[in-house]
Amino acid sequence: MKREELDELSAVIDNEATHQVMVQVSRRISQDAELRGTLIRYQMISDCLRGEEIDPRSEELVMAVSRRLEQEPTLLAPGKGTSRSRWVQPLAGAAIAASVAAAAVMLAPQFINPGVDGQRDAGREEFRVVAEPLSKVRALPAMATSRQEMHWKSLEEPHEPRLDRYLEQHSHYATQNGLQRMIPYATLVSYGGFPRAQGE
Amino acid sequence: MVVSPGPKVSRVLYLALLCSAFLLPGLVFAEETGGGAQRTPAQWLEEMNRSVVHRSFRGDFVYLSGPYLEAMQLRHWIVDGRPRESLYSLTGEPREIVRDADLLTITTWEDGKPHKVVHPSRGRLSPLKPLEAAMLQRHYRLLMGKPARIAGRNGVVVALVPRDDLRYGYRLTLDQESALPLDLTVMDGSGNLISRIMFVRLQLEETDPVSGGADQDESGAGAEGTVVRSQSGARNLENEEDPLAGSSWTFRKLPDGFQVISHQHDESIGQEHFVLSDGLATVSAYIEPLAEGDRPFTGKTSLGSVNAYGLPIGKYQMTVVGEVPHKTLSLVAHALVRKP
Repeated sequence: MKREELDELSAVIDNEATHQVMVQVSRRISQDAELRGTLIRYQMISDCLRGEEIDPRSEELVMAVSRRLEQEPTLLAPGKGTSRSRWVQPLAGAAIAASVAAAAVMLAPQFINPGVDGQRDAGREEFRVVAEPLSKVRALPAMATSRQEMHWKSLEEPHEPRLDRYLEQHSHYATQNGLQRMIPYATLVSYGGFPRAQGE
Repeated sequence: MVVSPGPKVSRVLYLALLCSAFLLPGLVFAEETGGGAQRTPAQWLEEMNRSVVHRSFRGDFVYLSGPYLEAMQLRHWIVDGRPRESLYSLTGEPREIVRDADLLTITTWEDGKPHKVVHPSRGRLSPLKPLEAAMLQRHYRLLMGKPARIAGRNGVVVALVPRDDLRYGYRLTLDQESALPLDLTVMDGSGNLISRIMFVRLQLEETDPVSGGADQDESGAGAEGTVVRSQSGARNLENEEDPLAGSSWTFRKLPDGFQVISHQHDESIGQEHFVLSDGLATVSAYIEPLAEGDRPFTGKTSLGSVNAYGLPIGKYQMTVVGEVPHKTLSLVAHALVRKP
């Protein structure tokens, strides 16, 4: 990889690149696996240097934003006096704070960990972009502390008892490892829709 | 191409290159052998797996799922060498689940009086399935994160990044002293929060072989009330080599990484229950005959972080439930076929 490319990557990660460079780098990222891998590693290093937590989404977001930038280059034309974009900065955040859009992506394994599972996953779709305008990105509601009753979404009432029973049974069996064991029970207690015993 | 690497860019590049030489191998090393506290992510997970069963502890946590926020109290203790656990809601209507290897007791309160339903425990509270690092790493990247502080305790962060869109990602903060989970965040592949469990208080306790039920004074479970004992007709058909041996159903092609790990049959209602796992995430698939006049459940629904998918198969209702994306549930549902 050329020194110039490394410079550009560093500039992008450190929020020092111009929009023009960002668009150029983003275009190359979508075409160059080595560059992608380098950017992801650089980002991790950057997170490390910043003392940030490694966020499971960070790699996906790098690609997502890259893709999004590439799709909408015209919107990224630097305006007069436009400050430099912070599109790589909020990787650990819930949405990209760029002016255009928030984007998220599911990366194929070869992107997430190139060279490890590449053979096994050869032939898969490279990546799938799921992007929505920023206005549609739903932040966690500020009213999260208000008490709301949990319920099955969009479910006709006759099906509820059956699903309650399944949830209760699933809770028993989904607890076979220490990581997952609390989630279904927390859901069950939170929901309170305990199935009645037979004969009640 | 215009790049004007000012002093800062040069410094950043220098730092990056420096990191490439030192930190990057360190990160790779951290993924393989763990970095902090000389444990690998897999070793931390194993330690957590042991701790949640063998440690006695109690704590309060908040559970966030979509717009729902609950506070709960968890107590885990050992009675005669066997683990027992209670989960008690601190918000809304009081509810409590107490479980051990044999029984599951669900208590709700009506008019101030406890109403208990006692079920035979169909699952096993102990022993837990070991987390197999090799299997996990086929479907998740295991990474160490920066140390964190939760509930006033120092924690280490382990991230499980899914390698595809068939499972969720997890970020775990484990107590540095006990490896008990202090914070568990579940996210989907688009980075949306699915659920979060975060302790605000965690207290390690000495194992108390005499201690009885869960905080009866706090929950009021000792007050006069009703107790109903349910009987389950479910038979656990244990056959580790072929869990489907006793079933007339089988799965054609399961989502990558998932396999059937157990099978139960409740002959009283004709229900079969298949439990599938990728080594971490667990999915339950149910098939049972539809009664005359029953309307089948088709499509998807969710409750908090639990998703469900329904599919009628002839005169049967197939329903798949689990903390995985709907896509995975759908693949499982469509994979079930009658054995020839």
